[in-house]
Amino acid sequence: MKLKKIVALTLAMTMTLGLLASCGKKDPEPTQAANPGTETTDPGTEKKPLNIMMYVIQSLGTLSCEDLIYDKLVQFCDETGSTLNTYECNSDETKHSTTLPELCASGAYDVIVTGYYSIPEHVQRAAEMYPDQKWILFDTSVDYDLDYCKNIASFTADQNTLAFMAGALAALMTTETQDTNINEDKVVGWVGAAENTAVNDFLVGYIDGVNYVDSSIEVLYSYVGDWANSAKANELANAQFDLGADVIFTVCGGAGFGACEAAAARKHYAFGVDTDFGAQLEQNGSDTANYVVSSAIKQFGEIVYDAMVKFYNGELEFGKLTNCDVSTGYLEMVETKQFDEIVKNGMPDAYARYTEICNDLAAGKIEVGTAVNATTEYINEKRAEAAPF
Amino acid sequence: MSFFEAVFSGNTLNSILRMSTPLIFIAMAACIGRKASITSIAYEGMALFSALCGTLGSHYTNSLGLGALIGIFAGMTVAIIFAYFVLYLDTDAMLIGLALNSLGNFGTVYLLFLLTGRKSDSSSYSSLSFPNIDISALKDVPVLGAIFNNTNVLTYLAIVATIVIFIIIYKTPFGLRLRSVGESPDAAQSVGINVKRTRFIVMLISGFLASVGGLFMSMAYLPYFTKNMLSGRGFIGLAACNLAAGHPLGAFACAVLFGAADAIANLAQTFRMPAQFASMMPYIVTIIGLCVTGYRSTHQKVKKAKEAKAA
Repeated sequence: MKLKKIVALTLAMTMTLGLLASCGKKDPEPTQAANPGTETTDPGTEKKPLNIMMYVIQSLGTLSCEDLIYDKLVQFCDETGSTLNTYECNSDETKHSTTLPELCASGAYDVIVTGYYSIPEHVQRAAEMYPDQKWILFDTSVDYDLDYCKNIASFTADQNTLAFMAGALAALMTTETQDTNINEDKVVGWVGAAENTAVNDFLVGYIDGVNYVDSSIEVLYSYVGDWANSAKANELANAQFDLGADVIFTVCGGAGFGACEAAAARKHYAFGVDTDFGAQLEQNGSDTANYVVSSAIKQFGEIVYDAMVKFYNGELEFGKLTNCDVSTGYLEMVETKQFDEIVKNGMPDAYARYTEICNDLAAGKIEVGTAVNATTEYINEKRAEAAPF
Repeated sequence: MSFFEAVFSGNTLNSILRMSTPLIFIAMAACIGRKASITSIAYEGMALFSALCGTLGSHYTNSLGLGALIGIFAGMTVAIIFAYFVLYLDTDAMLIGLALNSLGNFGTVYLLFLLTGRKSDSSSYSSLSFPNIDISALKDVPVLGAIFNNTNVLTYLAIVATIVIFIIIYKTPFGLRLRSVGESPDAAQSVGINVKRTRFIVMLISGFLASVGGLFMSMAYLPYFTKNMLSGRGFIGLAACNLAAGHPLGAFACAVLFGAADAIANLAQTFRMPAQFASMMPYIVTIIGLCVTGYRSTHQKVKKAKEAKAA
């Protein structure tokens, strides 16, 4: 009988947890009685606090670009007295087609912030129904030939150029054999999540970057298949290290930590992506952070923040796409403590050449291949260039 | 290095062992469950809870043993819920299994969020891991030395667990009872075996094994929990058990086979095999294996029927 009681207790606890979980879900309903027809701020009129909706494709707290944006939006709200609501889809693609029009229909939001590759279609459909709704899109763009897209401002960043920087840096590092963590082989690695345009864009840029420095360097590339299987990312990285790689660029979200662990265990180097992996790992006090040289970050937090400020001041231009290249400073390989130690001080020649390449990129002197709107043949051609030639 | 050389290098063999370890634990959990004829698919959920609670437990208690205990307790709680629903409330085992797997998938993220404020991983929390062991006696043995070089203590435990489960099922009075419960519950009951209690104990053992499999993920493979880190290993372990018709030693072999397929697929990607094709390999091996066992069992049935006719 005792057993029954214990079981009943555990059950009750689980159910309470479940209930709590459902309560914690954010509601797309407007939380405040905002003005339904709030128009944009005309220059000259008094600045009103905004009511912002962030429509999160994945979920917050996952170290993606969306987290960077969320943090900056919170800052924006603190500064301007605006309110921020979020709706998290938890990567459920089926929600977009119904939720986005609902959000517009509520009329509660001055602007809806959302992004990523899967969203444009849904935004266009919602915009067709509610052409007055203002949108800020990141990491993607809509078809501006459609006249109902005039209230959408899109922002993209050249991830291929960012990956080019990572590739150049990796290629420069792999020959610096005076560093004990670098081996003799001219091989670098790349571990991606699953094949999609953004991830392949990273690969194409990376291969171009490596070949720009030295086309006899081999690039090994593998895909995890998803963004979660950190153990597989670990094994893929290990397999690449077995074949002589010593610097690996991970483009697989949180699974990338698995690859960083492999780098630490094998005493080689890894690059993170989207957020500062090194800073993240430093917090747990392990040694791993010392093997994470840098992280490739598209600063969408800053981009969206700046756009919001412009919008607040009534200066933001809607109905167009703004692409941020390296010269804008929104794309960076973060120069962390580890970067300074390993590259800046440890490999001064490589660092000098790397800075030169970054400057050339910013000046637009180097052309980088891209997977955006590219054919499969083109991507395969680029992949063939991963082998030494 | 050629592909062939790479496959048989010590590093790859070592990684096969590493990748098989969680599969072995879950396969053993499934084997003992299957022998008592419990169809549980909830191992993934059990392992996920134990993976999360183990690593965070070790963070909060600063003790490997206590952390592991907390993890195992969490995993076994899921097993108890499963057993209670199936044995005492007479729920469909498949449904509750599905429910618990979903709970494992999202409940762990929720728990992680409550405790750390993060939804993807616990990488910023220091936690303890099971150590790797070098057996010095093996070091100079050519092949074994390379395979067992720097192997995690839980991997050895997986091998021990296989033997122990084999002994429990086939060499102990309890094993006899659980097999009779599995094969004919009515007959077992008629000779005074408490069917429910036997199955409940089996589920506890199952839960324990699946939990250790989970601990391996977050306290040995990686030093932290990441969202959905089992990534289907619960089901592959189950497949290994089914391929071997619930025999622990066969299931062990199948789990290692799946681990090998996975490791070789990873290696193949590095040799520029398309990722999609490489990821398919473990599943192709599963299907081939199922075909072989399916063919064998029908063949045996036909043979038996013929014999019966002849007699």
